[in-house]
Amino acid sequence: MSLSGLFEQIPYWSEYVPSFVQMLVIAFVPALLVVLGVLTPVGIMGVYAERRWSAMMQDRLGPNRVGVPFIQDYSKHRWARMFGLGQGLADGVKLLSKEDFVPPGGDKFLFLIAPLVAFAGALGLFVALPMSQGLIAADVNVGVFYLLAVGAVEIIGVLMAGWASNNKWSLLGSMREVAQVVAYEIPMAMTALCPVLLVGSLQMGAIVAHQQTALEVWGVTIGGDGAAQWGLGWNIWRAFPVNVVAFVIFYVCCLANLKRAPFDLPEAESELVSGFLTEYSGMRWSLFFLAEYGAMFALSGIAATLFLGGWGSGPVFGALSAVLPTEPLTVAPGVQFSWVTVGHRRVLVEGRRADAAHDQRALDAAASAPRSGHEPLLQVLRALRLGLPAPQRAGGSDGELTRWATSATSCRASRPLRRVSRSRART
Amino acid sequence: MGDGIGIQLAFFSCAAVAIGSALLAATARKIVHSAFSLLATFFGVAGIYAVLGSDFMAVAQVVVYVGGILVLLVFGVLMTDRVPDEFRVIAPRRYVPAVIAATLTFVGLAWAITGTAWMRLPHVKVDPGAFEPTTAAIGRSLLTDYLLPFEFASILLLVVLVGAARVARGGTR
Repeated sequence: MSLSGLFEQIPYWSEYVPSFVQMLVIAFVPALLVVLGVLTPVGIMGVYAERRWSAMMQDRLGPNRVGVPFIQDYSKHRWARMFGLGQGLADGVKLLSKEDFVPPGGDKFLFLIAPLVAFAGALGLFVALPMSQGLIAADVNVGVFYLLAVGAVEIIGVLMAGWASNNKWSLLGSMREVAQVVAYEIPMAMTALCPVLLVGSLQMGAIVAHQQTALEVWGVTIGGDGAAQWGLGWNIWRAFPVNVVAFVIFYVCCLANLKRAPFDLPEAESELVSGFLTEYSGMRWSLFFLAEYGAMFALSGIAATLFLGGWGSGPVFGALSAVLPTEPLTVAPGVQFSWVTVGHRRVLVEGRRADAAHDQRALDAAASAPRSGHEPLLQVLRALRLGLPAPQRAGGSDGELTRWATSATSCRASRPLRRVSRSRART
Repeated sequence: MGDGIGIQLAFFSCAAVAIGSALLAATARKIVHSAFSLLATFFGVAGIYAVLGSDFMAVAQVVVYVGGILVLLVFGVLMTDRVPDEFRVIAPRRYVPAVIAATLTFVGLAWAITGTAWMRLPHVKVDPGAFEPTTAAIGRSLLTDYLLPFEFASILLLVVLVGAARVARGGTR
């Protein structure tokens, strides 16, 4: 029985229960289903895939060889490996048994609720995500707009975590993340509007339905009403070259939103320990991670629905549309690591080098210049200015990409550090 | 489901969240707590919009206030030097103007709210159960009846955007 079938049964109970209780049940049952049935398995599968794949690429032995406890492999006289499934179990046990620690001097209340806020934001994405016919918690008619809106809640949770940790790495990491997400939300919304304009509705169900209709490219009709079965009705082919570009931009914005490979500066392990997660441990840490992997899945689903036909495109191409955006984001971060990161590594390294020189120059300038009264406001504006080109540098050989990488990443976060080093220079 | 008690329950719980967290924002000793408690206030107000059947406004409330203004506010608080972490709410000498301003605002709002014949306004629907989507209607009126204010607002925003970019770039160096 599908979820919609379940809802059709509701009138029959209604004689026995008061209506507001029904409302609560109707609100909470899908929410519970989503938490237990979708978000947790999605998070666990994502972690599993990522651990195995990156272990393979990084020559780590554990995640691909760890055994499952109490399941004997009698031929080898040890616990059976079973494709590294034991790793997830071991991770879970480790996280559950860790101390729930609040750093001294931190803001206890905010520190404790920050993971919940971030998790709620990721959970909110699943409300309007169509899984299949009728398998959508609420097919609201402002669906796309809603999905772009709830992402903001996660940012607030991250800011809370960064502030409450009483740790400068945490604060820097959370500020980097927020600046990055806010900056990339704009192109993301713009590109999400392309299919919306074609369909003429913000409703996720309508967007899926529209991709079932015949496709017309440059005045030529390709495929009839069943076109979606063969991946032809997808929005990505409509208004032909436009939506292909839009999809690529949307995908890049997803990467930035989720802090995946080339955009992982908020968690930059070598300089910020692990960003806003530095002080977290145990279940609160894993709540952040579940939120992250859940958001990854949800954003892939949104990309598939907007551009690749959603659930409406037959078994073969449905699988393809599920895999195209999901695969690089969740299933194969390792692959992504190779094809995105390596391409950008030179850019990033050069960017950081140029950035260090730039910071040194700015440091010298700041030490001599008088501080204006507008300084706090200017700092906020500078922090939010990420889309603009960086100030002109001497030489100017960095190129557009380097400047883009620089302005989107580390140069913002170096501000508070600069102040620290200045006060040290004085004493 | 569109009957009275469910709607009332939803409305009053949203209102309670909004008012409670607004009180917290006004009375919290730490300015960061004030900023973060606005999150609940904005969601409470968005919930009231949703209960009243104004779906587009509810989501726009979240986009603008939570995604934009609150983030900017928190950034401002976190990046400002020397914010006293705990502060006595207001110095005594500022009580008088504060009370006067608050009273004037309250009286003005109360006058406007009680003086309006809500039920006779053209867009108001009396039956909360009869929900119809508002997005298309909003778009239509923005591009017909309210085109001039809409364009004025967009020009103002464009000017602000250019100005902010200019300010953020700093001097000519």
